[in-house]
Amino acid sequence: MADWQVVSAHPDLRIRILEALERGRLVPPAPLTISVVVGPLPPAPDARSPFVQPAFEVRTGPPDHSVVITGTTVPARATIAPGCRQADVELAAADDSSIEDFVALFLPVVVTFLLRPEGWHHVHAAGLRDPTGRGWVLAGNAHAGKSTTTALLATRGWAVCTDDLAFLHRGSDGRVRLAGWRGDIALRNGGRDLLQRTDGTPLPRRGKTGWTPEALGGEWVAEITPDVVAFPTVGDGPTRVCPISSLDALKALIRWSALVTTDPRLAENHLALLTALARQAQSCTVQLGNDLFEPTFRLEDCLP
Amino acid sequence: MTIRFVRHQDLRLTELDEEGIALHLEQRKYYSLSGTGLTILRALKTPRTEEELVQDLMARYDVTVDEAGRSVRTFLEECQDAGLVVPAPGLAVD
Repeated sequence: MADWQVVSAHPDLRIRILEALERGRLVPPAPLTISVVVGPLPPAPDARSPFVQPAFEVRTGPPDHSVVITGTTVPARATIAPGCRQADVELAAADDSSIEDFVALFLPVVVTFLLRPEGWHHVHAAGLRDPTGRGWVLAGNAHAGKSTTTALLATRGWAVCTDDLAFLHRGSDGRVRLAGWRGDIALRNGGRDLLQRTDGTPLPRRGKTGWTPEALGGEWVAEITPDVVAFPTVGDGPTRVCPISSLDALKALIRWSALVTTDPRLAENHLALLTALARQAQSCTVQLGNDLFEPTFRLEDCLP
Repeated sequence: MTIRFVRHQDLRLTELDEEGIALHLEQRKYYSLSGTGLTILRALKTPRTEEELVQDLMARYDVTVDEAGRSVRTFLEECQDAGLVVPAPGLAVD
């Protein structure tokens, strides 16, 4: 396993990025470098059609097969040349607030695209390990209940890998693994109330409150081997777990792994990894009910 | 003149439980495929005529030439409408 290198003429910026990478605790499979220059962001005409996400847009593919990520909430641009294990980042300003925004919002995106050519592919999911040792992937959108469920399960002896930013890759035994970017498990007020917590770290930029797995009584793990893929939704009735076919699981995984359609040269590998995950794991939908929060409820016992 | 078809260059295929998914990178959409559809789209990695595709299906499945012909025609029409398959440029045969 390798490490991150950060190059910048701004010592404070370099240290803040290194600290963020250290907090993320994601060990890349090869040495990867992030080089940052600070200055004006001149327009960079690019005729390629962008893939637009809430915080950034990315252009990939022919003719030059570079990856160009442009921040839409952070004034920054990152370019990854084909075959190059380095992201060249341009950041408009390096004042305290700009660095904080960059580190919180843009750096994880750069990390995501640096990892992709290494065969590590993003999925919008939480990763956990239950008390019996099974690895769980909870995949879904921002309002599916992933983080609240992750926080709750952390209080019940589950190990947490990540509640949001997950990367699938192949282990040396050929099985699919999920590695996580370690961050606070971040809940909105509703989730915090359901958990009946009054502590936590305020995360004002995200309008949330955060906890480490340890602060909730759990532990953090760098990686899990998925045995279960669950697609949660918040429901009204009792918690219900319904098995789904591998093919339906694959379709849902594609939905929550939107970058699969970016960069034609990497899409096949990404799709193959999602297929392998759907084949490897037992899959289900989980309608999350309030009974989940009853002290005796055990999600791990709900699987058929 | 017989037209050869080829699958769109932005199409990626995967198989699971004898069914398939076709992911269209440009459209950013996926399509569900039956086993037959997957067989046809896999064959269309290189340009093929309708008749050649019928032979491909007959070699893999226990179907008559009429059944295979109907399946291929219907599937090709649907795929062309969805932009999954295109006529191969400059490769029409007499």
